[in-house]
Amino acid sequence: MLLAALAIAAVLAAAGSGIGIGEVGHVALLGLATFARVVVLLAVSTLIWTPVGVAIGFNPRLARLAQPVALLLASFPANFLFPLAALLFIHAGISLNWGGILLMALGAQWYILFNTIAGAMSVPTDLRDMATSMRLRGWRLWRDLIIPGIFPSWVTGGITAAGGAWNASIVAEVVSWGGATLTATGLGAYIADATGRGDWPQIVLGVAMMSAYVVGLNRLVWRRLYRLAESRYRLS
Amino acid sequence: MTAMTAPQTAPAPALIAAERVRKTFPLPQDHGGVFTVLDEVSCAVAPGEVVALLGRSGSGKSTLLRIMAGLIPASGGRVLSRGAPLRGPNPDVAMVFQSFALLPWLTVQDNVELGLKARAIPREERRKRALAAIDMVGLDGFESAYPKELSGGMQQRVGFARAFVVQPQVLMMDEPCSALDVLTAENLRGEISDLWQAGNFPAQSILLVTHNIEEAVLLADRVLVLGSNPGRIRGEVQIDLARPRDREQPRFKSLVAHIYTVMTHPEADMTRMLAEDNAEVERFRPLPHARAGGISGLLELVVEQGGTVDIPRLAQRLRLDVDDLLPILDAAVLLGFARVVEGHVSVSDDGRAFAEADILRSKELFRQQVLARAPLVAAIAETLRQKRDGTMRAGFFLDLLDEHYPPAEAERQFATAVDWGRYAELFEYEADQERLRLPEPEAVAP
Repeated sequence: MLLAALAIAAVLAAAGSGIGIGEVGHVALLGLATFARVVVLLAVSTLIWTPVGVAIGFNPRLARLAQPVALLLASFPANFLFPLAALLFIHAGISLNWGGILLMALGAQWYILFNTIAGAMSVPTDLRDMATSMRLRGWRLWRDLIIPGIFPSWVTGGITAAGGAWNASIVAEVVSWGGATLTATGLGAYIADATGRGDWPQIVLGVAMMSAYVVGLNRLVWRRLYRLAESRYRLS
Repeated sequence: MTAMTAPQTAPAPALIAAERVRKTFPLPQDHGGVFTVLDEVSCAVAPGEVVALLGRSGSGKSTLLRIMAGLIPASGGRVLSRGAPLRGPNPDVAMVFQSFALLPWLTVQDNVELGLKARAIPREERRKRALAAIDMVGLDGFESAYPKELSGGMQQRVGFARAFVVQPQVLMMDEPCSALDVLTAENLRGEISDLWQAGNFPAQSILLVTHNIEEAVLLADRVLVLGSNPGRIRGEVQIDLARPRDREQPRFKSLVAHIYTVMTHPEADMTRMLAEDNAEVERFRPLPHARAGGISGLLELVVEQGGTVDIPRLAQRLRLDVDDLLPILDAAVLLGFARVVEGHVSVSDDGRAFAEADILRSKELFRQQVLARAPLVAAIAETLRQKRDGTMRAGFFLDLLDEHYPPAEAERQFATAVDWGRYAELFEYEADQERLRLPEPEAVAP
């Protein structure tokens, strides 16, 4: 319903300002490009940070050392690094279409890490003792205990990280260093560009499209995962 | 102490033996300080026997079990598994947990197969063995159910099936019935006993951890009584009863009474008190976790019964577990209101006066005894009196306690001290501001 309302708003905004239906389709495709970046970002962050988070969450001594460090890193405003990253990308000849993923991840990855730590800590000691005593190891331990055990927390982290990444795309898909500007193909760059020119109809269209994506995905994907986590993977 | 013998070496080589095992945990507040959970504990499980580790909460009995299962390392001493030093999880052991420890996302069948999968047993054999184990615990028909669809008793049966299916040398049970209601627990105990007696039990030996004396006497061949703070073996009692055992047998009752005596025997604690007559240790001697109202209630009851009561009978009458009753008894003894001798509790003159006095007078007696005998409460009151405004943040005392106890125990000590101090009208506690304060002058009894 909300999705439909947003779509109508977008179309009205387009209609009232002489933006054609073709432009709406174009912006939707740009949204798809940013969506692909968000998906890659979530997958890579999960692959990197889940093992780290589980190691920290299962080891209280490590947790005491690592948590303040991780909090410090996470509280560092990632966009201060963007111009430096732009310099790096220009020198290395990396397209912002790929580099943008890294920039969006700078802030968003921490949600995956923190929620994984919390999830691992919430696995009861008895379950871990049981797994050790049964000699569950390696992939079997991950498949039977760890992944299902941290799944609810991962979903929470995923929702937050994805939301953060969509927002970050507005500043991460266009970056400059000195006179040079790198631009990625995506909805974030479209909004940033429209904002730079003060083009209200395009701003409204871009923001409405982004909201439609975020809300739509929450409804179609995240809420279902959340319900699954609640019904099957809850550790009482 | 007649039937208490030194832990004897079993004739057959032990399946698992703990030798002078120590376990300490670092205290978070105190750099370098440690909290000793187990102190030089030695015990062994021989083939074909059922051994019970009996102790109150804080005796480290579950920790000892986990060290013998190879789940946590000992800080000192060693564990031998069939003669060889144990490193890592003990392959001879399967464990049954108080919390059942079932994976909620797996069916009964998959939960039971877990240990077989880890041992890389082929699918068809896995299925067959799991079905046989599920059948053995009386759960056939529930193979495809999820744990949350089952009652607590049925969930624990799944826990047993999961342990049975790997045919361990030693079945370890950590308070297996403590999370169940009384009837379900009794039923389960009966079935364990029947299975053991039937002779085709899927494990050679059983090591049971419990705080329930009757459970230990019902199931075990040998009961090792653990003392608290730090955990150590206080005595061993052979249960020379034929199976099946009957709670109404006189011999059963006398064994239960004897174990109560061992558990409440003051001698061991007296030697510790003398050894530790240093003011710092004295001030932080742990308070038994009993409420002032509970102490007074218990004393009234004993006075009504003539002043001396058999402890097992008292527990039975009150329907209290040893974990609930003993702290109250300990508190009464600490405050000089009662004595415990040979499984009997008798009320002292002070105790009688306390139990029979009206509320104002009983508070006064309580205050007098607390100030003389509970140094922590007295120290709190003294600190408050030295402050000009007569108040102090609770955090101050909690920080001090943190240096001597693990955090959860520090909080319990504080809560008990506050309860006693309030009852004695030595101080008041404002929970919303987390401050202790001296009572208003007019509230102080003359």
